[in-house]
Amino acid sequence: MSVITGTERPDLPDTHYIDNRIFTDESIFAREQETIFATAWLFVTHETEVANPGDFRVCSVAGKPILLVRGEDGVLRGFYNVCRHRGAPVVRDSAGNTSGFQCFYHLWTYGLDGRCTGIAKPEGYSRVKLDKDDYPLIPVRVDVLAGLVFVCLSDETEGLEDFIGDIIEPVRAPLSDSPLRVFHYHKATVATNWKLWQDNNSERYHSLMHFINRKTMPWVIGKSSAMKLNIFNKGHSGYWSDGSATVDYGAGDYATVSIGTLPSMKKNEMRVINLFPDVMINIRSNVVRIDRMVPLTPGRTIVEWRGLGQTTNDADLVAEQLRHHNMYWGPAGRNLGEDTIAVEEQWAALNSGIMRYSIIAQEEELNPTDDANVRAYYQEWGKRMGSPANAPFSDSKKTAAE
Amino acid sequence: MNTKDHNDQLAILLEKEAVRDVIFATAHVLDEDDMTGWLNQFVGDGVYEVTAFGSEIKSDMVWWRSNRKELAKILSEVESHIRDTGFRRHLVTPISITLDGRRADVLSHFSIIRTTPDGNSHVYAAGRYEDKLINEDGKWKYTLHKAALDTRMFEMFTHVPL
Repeated sequence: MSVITGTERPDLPDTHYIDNRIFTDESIFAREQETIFATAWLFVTHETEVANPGDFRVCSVAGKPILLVRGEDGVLRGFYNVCRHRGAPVVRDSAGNTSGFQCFYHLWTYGLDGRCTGIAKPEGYSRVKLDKDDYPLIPVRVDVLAGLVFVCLSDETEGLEDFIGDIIEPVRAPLSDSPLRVFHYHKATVATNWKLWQDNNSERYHSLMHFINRKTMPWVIGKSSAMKLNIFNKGHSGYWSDGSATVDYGAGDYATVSIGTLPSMKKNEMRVINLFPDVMINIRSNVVRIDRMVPLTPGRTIVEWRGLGQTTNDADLVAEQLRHHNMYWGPAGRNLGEDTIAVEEQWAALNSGIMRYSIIAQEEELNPTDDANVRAYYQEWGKRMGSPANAPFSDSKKTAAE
Repeated sequence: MNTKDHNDQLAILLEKEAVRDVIFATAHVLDEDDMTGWLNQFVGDGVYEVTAFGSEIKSDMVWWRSNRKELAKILSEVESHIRDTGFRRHLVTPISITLDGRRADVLSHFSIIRTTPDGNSHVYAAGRYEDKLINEDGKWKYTLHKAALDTRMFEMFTHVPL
């Protein structure tokens, strides 16, 4: 009789299961920072958050402090938020508007274009001929797509449009064809691995956990679905329909969404895209939710949530955007709390090491509860990491863990 | 101070005490997970609101705004949801009560202590209640019960009121 140890490899295709140590191992986490977060285009903010000259925003990318600032010339630039003098942060606020920057520590100053405009006690540098023009803030790549601001720390990576590809199309019009505003932002340090949050945003069978989704999303329970998974290159995926897959709010006796439907969206329609490695864009009729992540450790992740809707002075529309967004996705929303509980407790259990492998073997002809998108995601992950997700220590040069 | 003034002052103090009782009772029913008791603190068209200021987006935010009808629907389904296994205890300090006839504006500070199932306690949230009440048939009830949050990063979300 065979002994069940919890470490047996599932008798499944290699693509249909993953090694849970990718969620808990320190060396894998460190490698992810180098091979994924330091090389991919990462969404960091919405362009309306830095709309005007002098608007700035700070963020963290691959553990590096980043400063985004709109110049007097209207160009959005990115820099490492590190003073060229002694390495203190140039900006300490999370956001604001300024005509220039001054490091709080030793008072070196910089223009909105990153040029060093002043150094403290310059006469002391005359003998060594230090020229402040040689010490601008260190730039990083910034680009904007459909109002979404991305940063890339690598000069080797392809351009943003090529990195994202056609996955942007189903959300391009809702994000681009009417002026949007960010009406909601919050973040939390979630006690989980960052990929488990992306999994939660990708696989739809966890909707069976959600009391409301069981009522309002017929494609979750049904055997067939008008909504289908769409798999793209580079680990990107999404699920949407021709407009016929709507959220059935009425089935749960919830108020329907009646006004302010975003361009190209139908009433109560839902479209979701997941961008590799860490972004979800979820659009329901008149509101947009965008998630991004800042991984801290294998078991701690800052998740940022934004809520967007059409810019409007219509008080009724504002109220409906807020009600719709907050009911499901706000900090007191009906779904978000359940999701965070799920991924935190999942990670704690995985970290016990009892069960070595997770199964991503659901095949449902690309219905949303199919695992095809999750499998595609981990294929890309394995490609970038140099070892597959079901055997992450298979390259012995990278780690001695196995 | 004459007797009438004394009586007027006493009446004001008693009304303020009655308002204060509502503030404390609100905390207590939440601690007891008594959603019906909490809902009964509102008038028929009363509104509950949670707000915060987003320094990242430089804007005030509304995180929850529901009227009593919507609250009743949400709270009736609380038990159907996956919930935090910790429990919360509210510490509330009324700072000012301003009476205007049948109406009262109240400002209170609050902090909420969350205790995990294994007994680890810590501050879960802090902020202030900015409440508007009305005396309806001798009982003070909320027309607006607003939790204005200082805390913006929660370690465990909840759709149970704060």
